[in-house]
Amino acid sequence: MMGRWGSTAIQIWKDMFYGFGFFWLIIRESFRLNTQRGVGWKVVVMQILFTGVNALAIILLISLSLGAVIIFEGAKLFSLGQNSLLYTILITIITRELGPLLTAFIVMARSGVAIATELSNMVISQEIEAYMAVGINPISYLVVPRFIGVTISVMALTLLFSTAGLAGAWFVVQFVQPLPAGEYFTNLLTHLSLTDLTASLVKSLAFGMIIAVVSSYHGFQANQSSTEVPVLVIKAVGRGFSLLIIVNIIITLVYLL
Amino acid sequence: MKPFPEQAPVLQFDSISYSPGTTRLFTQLSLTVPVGACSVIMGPSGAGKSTLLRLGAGLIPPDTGTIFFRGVNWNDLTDHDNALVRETLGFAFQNGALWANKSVYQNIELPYVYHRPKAPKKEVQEAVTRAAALAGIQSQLSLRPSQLSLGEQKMVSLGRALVMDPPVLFLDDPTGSLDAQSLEKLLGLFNDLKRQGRTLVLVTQDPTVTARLADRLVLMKGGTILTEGPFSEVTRNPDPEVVAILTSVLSQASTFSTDILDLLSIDHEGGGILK
Repeated sequence: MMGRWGSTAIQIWKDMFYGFGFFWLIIRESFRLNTQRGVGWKVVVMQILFTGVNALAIILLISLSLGAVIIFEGAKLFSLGQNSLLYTILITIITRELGPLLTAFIVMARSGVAIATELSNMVISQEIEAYMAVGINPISYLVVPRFIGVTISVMALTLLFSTAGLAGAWFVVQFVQPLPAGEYFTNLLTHLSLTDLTASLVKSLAFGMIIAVVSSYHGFQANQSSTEVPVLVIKAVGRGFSLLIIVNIIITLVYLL
Repeated sequence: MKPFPEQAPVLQFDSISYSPGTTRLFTQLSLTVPVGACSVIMGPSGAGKSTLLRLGAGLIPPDTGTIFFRGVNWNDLTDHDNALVRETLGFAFQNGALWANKSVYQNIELPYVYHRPKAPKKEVQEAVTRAAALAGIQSQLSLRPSQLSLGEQKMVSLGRALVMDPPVLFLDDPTGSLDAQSLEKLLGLFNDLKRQGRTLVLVTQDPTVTARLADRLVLMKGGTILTEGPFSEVTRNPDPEVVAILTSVLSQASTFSTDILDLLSIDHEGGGILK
């Protein structure tokens, strides 16, 4: 029993070690993107299109419904004379906590899965080796554009989530519980601090990088058989979600302290 | 990067060990493949021939030991030097390993535009057309890899390996899944490349290909090298294990062609082990 725990701990430590090495390689290659031959910004644009633009509808749907529910339920606080609490709760949930995390979950479930599947299939069909054989670094050619594309997309989607969740939700709520626009938006801006915005920005930046690194890392773990693909994808999603939650807690703690 | 030492062997495996997964394939394996010849690596399935070729091409790292390509240790190369070395080495994969999201033309074009980013479009087109013509796939340039048969995919892989006009070619079972006519054409091409002084390192189980091309033969079994050396020497080796492997490989092939066994004695004085 102890031996199994020990070997699991060693495996986790090894994975973390390789993971950090992989992350460092991606960061290094990202800074050299413009000097790398053949590495196209076209792939970055395609990745933004897939990760960002194609996920707009689902992000809007979730942010609008979440924002509307909070406003609707929170409006009950008005009768208790606690009007300002609504805005604090709204901003905390939409901008600082759930917004970035839900956006990251959606991107992990869509684009993270796609990246892990695509890369692991490429490893199995020896396409990665073919890139290496002609002298092309697979990290700079395949991973870096996805890394940049996903990171930019998550940041943009988080911003959209906040905007739609805060402002758009007000329009939705008008159908069931009208709130004066002037009062709502003035109070919202009063309660929205720079700390909330930077926390959201920092989280989305970290989450974007985590999604791209975790999914690419697991994609490259494939070896020989196509049966490995679903196993690796499930692992990528599980570890990705766990890492997102852990990093979310860490950043939140840093901001609270 | 310094130029390659002139007489350096094209490949030198120095006490390498390699374990894919949990099984140990190579233990303390050493081998030298000379420059300017056609070396054929032969052996039964699972002997480790393709893996040895991929290790030699620096596509997978050994667990221990060192591999030199033309006197250069793969581990010592910077990214820039690696790109320069890759220009001189073409690798044709056993399964084609084509990039599925690119057309045949783009598959052959990519190495050229990567290594010659400033090359005019016309020059790139000429290089691709020349390589495609050599591999006999001019009519398939607009197709996707999924639209091709395995034999055709292998030819595209060969075209991709040839596009940089490299002096060294590593060919992993290039003639498998080919019809007789294409095989004959390909053997002609390989002989032309040999005459031009290029180094070919070829993995095959096909005795026709071996008999027609091999200057040197490396015989493998279960991750070990049974024997290696000039073709005529290896085929005269009386070691029962060597005889058994040659016989087994040849008898497998003889199922498809009755006169294949005779081929071993065609081009090489002294004849083969079975003669």
